[in-house]
Amino acid sequence: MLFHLHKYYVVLSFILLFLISCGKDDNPVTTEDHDEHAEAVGCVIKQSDLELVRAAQGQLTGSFSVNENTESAMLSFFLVAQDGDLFQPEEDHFVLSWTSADPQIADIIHYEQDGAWNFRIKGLDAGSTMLQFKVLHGDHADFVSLDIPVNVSEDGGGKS
Amino acid sequence: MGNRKMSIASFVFRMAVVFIASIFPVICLPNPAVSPGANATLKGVIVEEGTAEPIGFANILLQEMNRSVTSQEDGSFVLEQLAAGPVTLKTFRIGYRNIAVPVELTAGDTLEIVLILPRAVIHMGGVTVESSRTGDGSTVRPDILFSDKKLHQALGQTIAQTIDYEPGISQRTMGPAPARPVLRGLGGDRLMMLEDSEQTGDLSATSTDHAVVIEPITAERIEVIRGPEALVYGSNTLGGVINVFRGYVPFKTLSTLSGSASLQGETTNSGYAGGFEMAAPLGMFTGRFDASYRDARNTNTPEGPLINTSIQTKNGSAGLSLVRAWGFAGAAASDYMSEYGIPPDPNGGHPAGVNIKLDRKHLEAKNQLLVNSIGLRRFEASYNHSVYFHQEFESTGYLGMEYGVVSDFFNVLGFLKNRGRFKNGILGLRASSRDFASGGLTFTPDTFEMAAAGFYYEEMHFDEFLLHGSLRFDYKSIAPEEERLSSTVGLIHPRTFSDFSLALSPHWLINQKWTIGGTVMRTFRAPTTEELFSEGPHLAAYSYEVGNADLSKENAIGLELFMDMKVEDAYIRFAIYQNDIKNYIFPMNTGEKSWRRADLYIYKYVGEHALMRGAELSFHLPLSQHLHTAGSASYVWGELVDFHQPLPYIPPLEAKVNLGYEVGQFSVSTAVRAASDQERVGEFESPTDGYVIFDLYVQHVISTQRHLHSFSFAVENIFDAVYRKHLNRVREVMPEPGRNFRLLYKIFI
Repeated sequence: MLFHLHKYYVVLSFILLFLISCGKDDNPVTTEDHDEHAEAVGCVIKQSDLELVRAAQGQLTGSFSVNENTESAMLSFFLVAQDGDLFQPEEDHFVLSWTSADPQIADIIHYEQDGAWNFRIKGLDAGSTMLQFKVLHGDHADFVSLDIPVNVSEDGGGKS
Repeated sequence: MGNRKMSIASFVFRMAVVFIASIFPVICLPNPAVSPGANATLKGVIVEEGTAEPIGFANILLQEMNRSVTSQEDGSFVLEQLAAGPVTLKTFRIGYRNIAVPVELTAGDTLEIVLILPRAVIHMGGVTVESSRTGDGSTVRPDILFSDKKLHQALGQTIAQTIDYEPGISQRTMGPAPARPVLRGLGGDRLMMLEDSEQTGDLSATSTDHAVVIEPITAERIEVIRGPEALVYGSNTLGGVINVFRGYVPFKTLSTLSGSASLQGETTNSGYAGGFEMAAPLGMFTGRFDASYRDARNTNTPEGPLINTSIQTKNGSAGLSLVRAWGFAGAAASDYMSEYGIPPDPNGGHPAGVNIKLDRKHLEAKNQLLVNSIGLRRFEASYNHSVYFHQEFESTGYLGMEYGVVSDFFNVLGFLKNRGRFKNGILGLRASSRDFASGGLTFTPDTFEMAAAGFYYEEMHFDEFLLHGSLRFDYKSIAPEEERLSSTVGLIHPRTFSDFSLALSPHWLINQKWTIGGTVMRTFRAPTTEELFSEGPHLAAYSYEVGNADLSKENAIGLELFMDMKVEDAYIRFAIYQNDIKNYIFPMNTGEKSWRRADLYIYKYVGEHALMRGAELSFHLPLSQHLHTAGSASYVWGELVDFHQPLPYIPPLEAKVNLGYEVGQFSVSTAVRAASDQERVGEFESPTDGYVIFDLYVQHVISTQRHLHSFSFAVENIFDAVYRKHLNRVREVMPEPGRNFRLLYKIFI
């Protein structure tokens, strides 16, 4: 029975399948992009060495208070690693970002000279709102914090 | 692929494909059709019953050989270089009833035949029952078939939208673009979506925001297959199989150019779509080409536009075949590109929505050999290679997630000769590999999967009884690129799964009108890579997905009883069923927010005992010579047995009833779509109110000497009613589309 088949079948089958089987099969997604994520379970915001807010492992402790038309002192952002250590990601690969639920009440002010992971909160109008912090890695957010409350008081002269 | 071991495995797999598909037939199979005088010819003409007018543009299929031809304007057709022996000739033509005629081809002779087609009553609303998938006139279990006028009338933006409201069929949506069908409450990986009888290699089964990469406007027909036949395609077919036929690799014998072109427009999203499909003789080969483009803006609802729901899709393919007496060999390549939006969900963490861009490149080679000896009618080997790339962007333009899947599918099928009471048997082997990688913020490991299966399908025909049966064994391995212990997923390590599946479906043909029967089915489903190992945010699904590395295989026992009554153009079908699923795998909303991404809820994959029961009714009744009514209703009930809680995302009682009037090639019908309230909801799921919606359809077909023109006009949701569908994941944001005017023009040449 060997070689009884029509020559076209054998030749075409082999050519078609061989061409397809030798095609480049690289996966369009490579592993390079996701080797160095900021693996965090929360964040901590400090003023000097004083821990003001801890939003980690689903729990929130602390909040911000600032007076109307006043900037807070410089605050520092830290991520919480799985073992509980605090760290700040490398500036070359990660960027701190934020959103205010109501930027008419309070917003973040960032001065370049303060450094990549330091910021201040400015009270704009009396009331309460929420701040959410993100750590951007390239085109995506590696970390998104819980909503952190900010209270803006009418009285002047206060610090967070 | 970042792993060298995976590359080697993939290469070895492909080389095995080449060897088996090319060399195996040479060594193992006898000469099919090169014996002297094996070239038979079939010549014929198709005419209309009563008038004897010739019918052009009819599709004539020789079922056993899978060869087809289109009739000329004068109704004539010729099929040459055919293998001798008994064959079943089937015809398909818009406006006419499909017929099946057994003929005997003699070596070296030309058989001349006249086919007389009666005009058809168009079953607008109910199922169209193929009286025989076997070609021998017996009544086998009904499938749902969409073709011709019915397909044109229902043609939507997606396959799921097109077949929605058929008995037992719903659609899962998250915005209009990523819609996927749900059959009897079963969707995702429990329902196979096939294109030309092969898997698409996309990720639509894994998440509600992932689109199916099949463009409906160039589809030739859509079939829904359940029961023993479904196991031919996969072991995880408890819900069934939806097979969209496009015919990438041509197998028609052509003497001239033939094909069709379509143009569609609709108002609810200012959308339009166009496409063509052409086949032509190219020397000794047959060539086939198709292309389509779809563009739609945001969908309008009675409460305003559903923002970020636009879609742009481009699709094209080219195929080439050599069709001869011994069978055919051919190959095709295609590319499907789509960009679409996922609407915003303020409660789900994405107030501005997510945009998705995907691309699937596909290569296919298919061979068929008409063996006609050693117990085989024909032998088929096919190989499909698919590269799928999917990116999800946040509203700011940031890339949130990306997925890449490289898939290979290889099939060897032997179609058995009829042996006494045993008919239409199929023996087959299927093998596949899948290279999965994800990028962005994900901790899901890259994985390489290999799967293999062997199956046997057979039918036993007695005078009043018919028994379908299938038996299948599957093996699947999933190897992550690295082994590690995850605090949330568990021990990420290679997993293997294997099990058998079987199905039996007896039919008792009580008399010419009544048939009763049932189906018993045991199915097996291995967990997917995503269910086992996923870890990371899924922006478009508004979830932080966490896999479960310890998941076991999913087994189900399905039972169905049905009753059919058919008298000429009237039929009624009623079915009840139960699916008992051990270790039903689904992502359970834990109600907790992710520590890494506190804007997203954690969905953890779990396996629980689930029970589903349901009933379906469909009918078509002529009321007078020109008036008919048709409809369907379906209900499914699902529960997590151990928790005594309803299964999430189960459709409510749904029904659709049509009243149609038809004169010649003109038809008009009105339809009522309705659903009850759905108050049996899962945890973290909200109830949905019922609704009643009215539609209007008008169709007309014009035949000229050279062309066939088909016009389909529809007004959907005539009264611009506000309604929400329970399986729409963003139903709380916006209701379903408002009043929509849709026009489809199709020309056949």
